[in-house]
Parts: sequence; structure tokens; C-alpha cells
Amino acid sequence: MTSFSPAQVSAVSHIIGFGLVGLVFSLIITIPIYKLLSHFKIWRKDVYDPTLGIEGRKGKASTPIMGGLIVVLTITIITYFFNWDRQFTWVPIGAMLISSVLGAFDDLLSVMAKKRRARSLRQTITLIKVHKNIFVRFWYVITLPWSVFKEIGNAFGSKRGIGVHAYEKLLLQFIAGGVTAWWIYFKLGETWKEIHIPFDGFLNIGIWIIPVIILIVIFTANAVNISDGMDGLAGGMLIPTFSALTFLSAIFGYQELAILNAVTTGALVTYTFFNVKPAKFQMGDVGSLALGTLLAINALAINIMMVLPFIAFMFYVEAVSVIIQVIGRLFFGRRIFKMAPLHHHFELLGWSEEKTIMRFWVIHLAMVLIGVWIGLH
Amino acid sequence: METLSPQALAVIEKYLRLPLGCGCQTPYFNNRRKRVRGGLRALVGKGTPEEIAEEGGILAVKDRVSIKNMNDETLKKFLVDENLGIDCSGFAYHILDAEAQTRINKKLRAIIKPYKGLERKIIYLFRPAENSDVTTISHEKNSAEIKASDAKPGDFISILESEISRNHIMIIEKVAKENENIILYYAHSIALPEEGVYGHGVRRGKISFNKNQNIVDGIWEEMTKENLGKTMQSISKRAKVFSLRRLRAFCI
Repeated sequence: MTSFSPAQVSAVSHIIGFGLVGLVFSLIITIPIYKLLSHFKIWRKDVYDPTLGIEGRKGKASTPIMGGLIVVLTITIITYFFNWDRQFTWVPIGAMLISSVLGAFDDLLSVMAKKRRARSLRQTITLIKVHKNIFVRFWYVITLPWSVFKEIGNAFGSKRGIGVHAYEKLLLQFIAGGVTAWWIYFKLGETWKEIHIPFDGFLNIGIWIIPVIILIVIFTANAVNISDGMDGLAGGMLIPTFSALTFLSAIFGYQELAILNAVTTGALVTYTFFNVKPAKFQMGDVGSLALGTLLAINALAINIMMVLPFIAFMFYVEAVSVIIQVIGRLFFGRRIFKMAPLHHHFELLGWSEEKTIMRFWVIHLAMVLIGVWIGLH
Repeated sequence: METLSPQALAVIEKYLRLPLGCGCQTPYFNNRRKRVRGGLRALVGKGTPEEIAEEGGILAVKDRVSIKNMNDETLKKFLVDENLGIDCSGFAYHILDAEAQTRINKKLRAIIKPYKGLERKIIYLFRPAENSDVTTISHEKNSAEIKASDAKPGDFISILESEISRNHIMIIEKVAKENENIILYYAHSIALPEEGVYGHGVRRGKISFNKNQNIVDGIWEEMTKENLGKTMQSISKRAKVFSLRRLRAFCI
């Protein structure tokens, strides 16, 4: 059996040490953040959340949201003071913060604001036909593609007219994805312009890698966001995912990214401890969008794009379930699942929340293990 | 007495007693009023009983009401208030679909051909129930008029351009023939002005007439709703087109 060199053991110890620092730091800031959220009543609102009607979920009303702040702040502060690296950490942190701010707006608007106006495509078309001012009608005609984009975005949104609109989210996520693509394609070097194909080698798709990266960042961010619907679900699945990223980053020699992932894992352990049923707080979009973005970027930065579907398996399954449900509704007029995302489907089938979460955890863990194995080839 | 296949009868029974909570009659709902586009077919008056029941259950969860504690009257009110129900052609579609699958081993979507433009034909591929309205089912391409004396279960009465709801369709469920007398037992989904906001829905009825008599001149009775038989008869008499028809696929 090959033994590790003292330098390797020291590097691993250093990385795990940062994980522990992340855990302890997040533990320290948990109570003040919890008190802050409770004081300002940043609570899950009963009227805005239809899933609270499901048996066993009624008690979730008045649970503070934005608990993801614990993880985001821990990652940002520790990275800024102890792991700030121009090449490898500032773009992941920057993109994560863009998503986090977007999520924070969504959370706060959902909690505090009244319904926002969301004009449908049909209403716009009607206005084009009937508006008394010809210039306004002309304006609606030339902005019709924008209205179509808004309609498509809103079709995937869960709370039309509440919080940040789906199309607004997509736009900001596009910026986060764009920053990531620019960084990977123009700043990281030649190696990152080729996609690593496990067991095979590398694939060069040229400039097309930019839209692919943007899509992956947007999709992954939303996938984690969608999965944050049950106590402990997203947190518990993110722990093995970021552990795998820590491991793979360390193996491939990306020390800074390994530390960043280890800190994230440590903070997630604290978060999940308080988030398991009955949750003291929930992640909120501030955490889920940020961590989804960070997950995608950190995986792309170590060139394991093809492994992402494994290490983010259940997140992607949840996101795909929403897409399938929307397609089923729009094209066939039928529900494919009783409710999307998938975890609510099982809940409505009669599975307890604990059973659903644990099954999801176990399946996810198995897929992460497979992903790590594939990633090593 | 000839009847529809057990499968088709089971569908009617489910509409008459939805598999939801204590069960209730499926209300009438026509999307002409709400004009929902791209929605679930259960929400546009075209769902199967199971789909309507499932949607009712989900809406109850969203509205935080308990279906378990509702009696059939409150359950029906809940469904009406949530715009859940079935229109006449949606009801006919699912009955005829069950009958076609049993009788000729084909789905109705493969039998009925939309007669309108290309766009409608493409949409029909995805949403057959939503695009099989009374005029489509009653179109010469899809069905043929038959004599009242030849009526069989699975035929339907098509009422076009009537005054209450522009078009209407009723499915013949059973046919009893004795000497010169014929009784057509039918099922349909309808909302008549006399029934108020919550009284409408799927129900059965019968028409008794003599072989030599016109159907509309026979005795019309609506089950569970006295006097409404005469209303139905009067609507039928004043409709521009009244015909007893059979799907061409059933004309063997």
C-alpha cells in the first residue's frame, strides 16, 4: 500500500483544519444571526407558501428564513482573511455573493413586500390590440420578445408576483454565469478551455464552452434553490457534495479551492445541525442560490464538468422534475408528479418528511461516491 | 337492455361520485368563462375523474382545508369555487374513450380527427381531450347520424347552437326496447340556469319515446332533478341542430 508523504499529510491536515475553522466560526455566528432573523421577523409567511398546507408542514410557518447567511458569511469572511487568492478564490466568492444578494432580495421581498405586478404575455398582446396610444402599442410590439422571455421565465417560477420575478433571477444568474465563464475561459489558462471527459481525455468545443458554463451555473444554482424545500434536505445533500469537491480539489492540487470547499463543508455541518427537523431556521434563497452557484463554479474550476451530474445528482433530479412538470402541464395538460419539485411528490404520496429526506440523502451520497470515482479517471 | 361496457360505466360512476373525500357529483365547468390557456386539463373542464379528484386534493392542501371533514355538499361547493369540474364534451370524450378502448381496442385520440386548421391538428396531438369539442365529435368526419330506432349504447345526442350553452352532447348509456317503445338512458354534464351556482354537474336522465315518434317529442326525465327533463327537452327542440349520432369507428 502506498503511504502518503509528510507534505501530503500536512496539506490534507491544513485543509481539514480550515474545515474545522469553518465549522467553529459558523457555530459562533449562528446565535446572533438567528436572533437577528427572529427579531426582524424574517419568517416564512403562511400565505405565500402553498406547501405549508401539506400534512406535517403546518408548523413550518414562522420559521426564520435566510439561515443560509451563516454559511455564506462564514465562507466569505474566512476566505477573505485567510484564503484570498486572485487566481482561484475571488471569482467564486464574487459570483457566490452576486447570487446571494439576489437571493436575499427574493427572501426579503417575499417576507415583507406585497404582491408585485406581473403582466402576462396575454395581457401584453391584448394591450397591443386595444391600447388607445399608438406609440405605447408600438412599444409593446418591439418589446414583445422581452415579454415572451418574461413569460417563459415565469412559467418556471413557483410564486408568480411574489419576491423577485423568475426572469429577473435568470438575468442576474446570467451575469454570475457570465463572470464565471469569462474567468474560466480567459483567465485560468489553456487547460480550462477543454472539457475533461473521464476515461477518455479532453474535448475542445472552443468558444461554445462559454454558454455551456453559463447554463451550468444557472441550472445548478436553481437546482439547489429548488431542493431547499424540506428541513435538512439541501444542507444534508450539500455536505457530501462539497466534501467530494474538497477531496477532488486536493487530489488535483488546487489547494485554495480545497480550502474553500472545506470551509463550506464545515459551515454546512453547523447549518444542517440546526436545520434538521424541527428546523430552527431555513436556508432561504440567500443561501441556496449562493451555494448552488459556488458548487458549479468550484466544480468547473477543477475541470470536472462531466462529474457534476453525479456530485449534484439529487439537485439535478429535483430541477429536472420541475422542468418535466412544467412541460407536462403546458403541452399535455397533465401533472406528471403530484407536485414538483420531487420531494413534495413523495410527501403527497404519504412518505414522511424524514423518510423522504433520508432516502434522498442516501441516494445522493451513493451518486457522489460514484462521481468521485469517475472524477479520478 | 343493452348497456355501455363496464369500463365506460365505471367512468360515469366515478364522475357521479368523485374519488375524493366522501365523494360527490362532479360539477359542470366550462373554460369559456375563465379562458385558461396552457393549464392542466383538470382545470379547464376536461379532466378524468381521477385528475379532477387529484387536483381537488392538491388545491385543498394549498388552501389549507380538510377534504376529510367535508360532506358531499360542502365538497361540491369547494370544487365549484375552485373552478373544478367537467364540461359536456370533456365528459363525453372520456366515456367514449373508455368505450372505444374496450370495444375496438383503440384510443379515442386515434379515432377522432380534428376538422379545423393545421394549427389545431398539431395542438390536438398533445391535447386531444381539450380539442375534442361537440362540433368536432359531431363532425361528419368523425360521426354519422343514425335513426332513433337504431340507437345503441355509445351513441350520443348532439345539440348544436342551443340557447343555454351553445352546443351540448349527451352519451347514451343504456337502451331499452320493448315493442314500439324505446327508452334511451343518457348521462351528461350540464349547468342549467335553474340549478343555481352549485346545483349543476354530471347526471343521468332518460328519454322515453315511440318508434314512430321524434326523440324530442318523447318524455324527458332528468334523474334526481325533477322538472329539468322538460327544460332539456325544450332546449333540444329549439336547438338549430339536434341529432342522434354514432362514432364512425363504432359503425361496423
